[in-house]
Amino acid sequence: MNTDNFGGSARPRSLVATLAAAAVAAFGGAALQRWRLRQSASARLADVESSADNAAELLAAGFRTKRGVERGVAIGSFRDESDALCAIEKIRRDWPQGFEAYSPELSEHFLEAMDLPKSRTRFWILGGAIFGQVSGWTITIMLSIYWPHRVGNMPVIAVPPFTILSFELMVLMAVIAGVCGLMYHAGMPTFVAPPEYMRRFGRDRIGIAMNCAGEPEFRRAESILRELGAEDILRA
Amino acid sequence: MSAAPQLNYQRVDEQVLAAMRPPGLLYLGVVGLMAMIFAAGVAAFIYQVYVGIGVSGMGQPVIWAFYINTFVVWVGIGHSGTLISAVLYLFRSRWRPSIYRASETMTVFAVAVAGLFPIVHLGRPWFFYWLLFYPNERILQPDFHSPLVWDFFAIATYFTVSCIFLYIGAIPDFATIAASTRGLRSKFYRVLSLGWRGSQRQWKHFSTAYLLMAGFATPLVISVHSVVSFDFAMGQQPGWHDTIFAPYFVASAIYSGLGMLLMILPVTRSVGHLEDEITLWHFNQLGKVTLLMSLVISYAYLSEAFMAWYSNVSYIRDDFNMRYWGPYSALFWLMCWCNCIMPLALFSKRMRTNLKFMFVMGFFALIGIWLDHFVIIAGSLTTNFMPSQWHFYAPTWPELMMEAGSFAMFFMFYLIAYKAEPIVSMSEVKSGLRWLNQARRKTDSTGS
Repeated sequence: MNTDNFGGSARPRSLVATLAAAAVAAFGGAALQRWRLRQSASARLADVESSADNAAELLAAGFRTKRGVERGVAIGSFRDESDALCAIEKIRRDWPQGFEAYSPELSEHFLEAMDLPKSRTRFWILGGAIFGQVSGWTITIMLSIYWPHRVGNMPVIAVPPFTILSFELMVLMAVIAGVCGLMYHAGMPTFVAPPEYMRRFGRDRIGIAMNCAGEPEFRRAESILRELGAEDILRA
Repeated sequence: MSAAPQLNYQRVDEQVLAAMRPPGLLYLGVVGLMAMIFAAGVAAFIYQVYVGIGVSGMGQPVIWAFYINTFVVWVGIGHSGTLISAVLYLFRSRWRPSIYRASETMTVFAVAVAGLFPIVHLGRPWFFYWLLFYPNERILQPDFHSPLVWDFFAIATYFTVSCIFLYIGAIPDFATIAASTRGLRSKFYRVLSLGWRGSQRQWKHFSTAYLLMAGFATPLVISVHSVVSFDFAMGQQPGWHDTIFAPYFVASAIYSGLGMLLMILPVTRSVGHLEDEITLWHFNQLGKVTLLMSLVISYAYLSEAFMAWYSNVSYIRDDFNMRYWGPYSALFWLMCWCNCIMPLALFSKRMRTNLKFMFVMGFFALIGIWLDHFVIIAGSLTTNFMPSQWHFYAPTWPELMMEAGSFAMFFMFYLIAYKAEPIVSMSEVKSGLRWLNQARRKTDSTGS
């Protein structure tokens, strides 16, 4: 047995501590930033929120800025998917103020029509995968040097077995980072619904919420939504 | 026959949520029965811990038997879940949406059951955590060259990834339930949905994350059972030391998982009245994949036999002779019937769309894979290099009770999940309504 090992007990501890500190810094920093953003958003919405998440209940409250210009959204709900798709395409072209669409299903057509930028979740997953690979190799190599146990005439640092372990850690970390990225970019978890959200958008209707500022814009948005086949139109 | 009404968003929600309605007496009775059998298994484990591992039938030379066999079988059963949820997602398979939630649920509980059995197998199960690396006063670390350590990492990763996959995929459905119900139930599912609103921005991030996670889960499926096969193939034991083990184990794992799925899906479908979502089209496709896996397994059996003959190594030849004509030969030939002969009936579409046959097929697939691993694990160990040590293994009552307990645990958790989560993914079925309605029309017109 290599007695030198007994003097080196601080090495894996410092390794584990470094890895833990890096993980805490990465995920903790992101969470803190997210929390700050959410706090500011909550403060902005505080004057119009109620405990309910139904837009109809928020309708009466309105949404006024300090300058007194009425701001908010005109919401159209669609039953038919093709109507909603046409509406999204037209509104994206003709409504520079911005809009959001809600649907109970993942529709590639809607995503294409919205022309959203690529999700940054992929960078989280890449980062997680790299972190997993690096930590997999680091852990196996360092602990094998620390406890050099020669088995089956394999070298102490053996590439094939360590590849398996680092692969498993890569998958694990990539998936965990993917979840963190999804939560961060999709604004989850949150238990405060946006004012335009209606429960039926989670069931059987497709909703389009158009940002408006001032009464003329609201009227124009409502007429566009009506023209495009919205069955209900609300303000929030 | 009158044409079935078209499925739409509302009907999908109604039907899937109806399956989650409060349970009846029969359901509670079955869950209670499963809980009792599971408790009996736990009691047998406690007895084994109290008396010692000697209460099992294991000893020299059969040091791995029922417990490791059960572990390998359950890990395998979990495989088809990830195959359906991840691999078919990458291939944009149209028949995936209706059945992937049930198979993912099956995966999570199967792997959870599997993870218990290496611990059950330990003489001192309270030291199972020695497989982990952690700072300790003995300055000992696990040997990363050992397949058992790879196995630990692979199974732990697989279980975590399966749980994440199941949960992430269910988030939009939890939001739908929160939107469709009132009161405490709505609040509970709103918390589970983490504030999901279904905005296109959220869907964009969701689809990217889900796609990439599926991309990572796919090689994971293949790696996990390959690593499990290395537990055997890395050893010098005749009957184990075989290069074909990795693909053979992956195929047998998928086959056994499909077997379990063929057993639980017809019941899930008829009890939950989900005939509109889980159609005969799905069983037809599942039957084709099952047949493919059966053919791969048959090829592996032939390859093993050929290599035993061609190697001209007497130990290997004797081991295979013993396998074919020795005391476990009845199990071997029954295994061949279950894994190679009976699935040939799946060449017929009529059989693939016959739910009773598919249920029986699933049952025999499970039996076949269980026997397959038993023949490899316990069967090969009975005849080692020292004929004076040869000893034929038979399970004892604690082993049988824990085996029964494992199945009871799985079915108990599946039944609980059946009522707690939408067993058919509402959001994905809505995405694939066009194909589902087409399939239903075809099924109606052909009557099969």
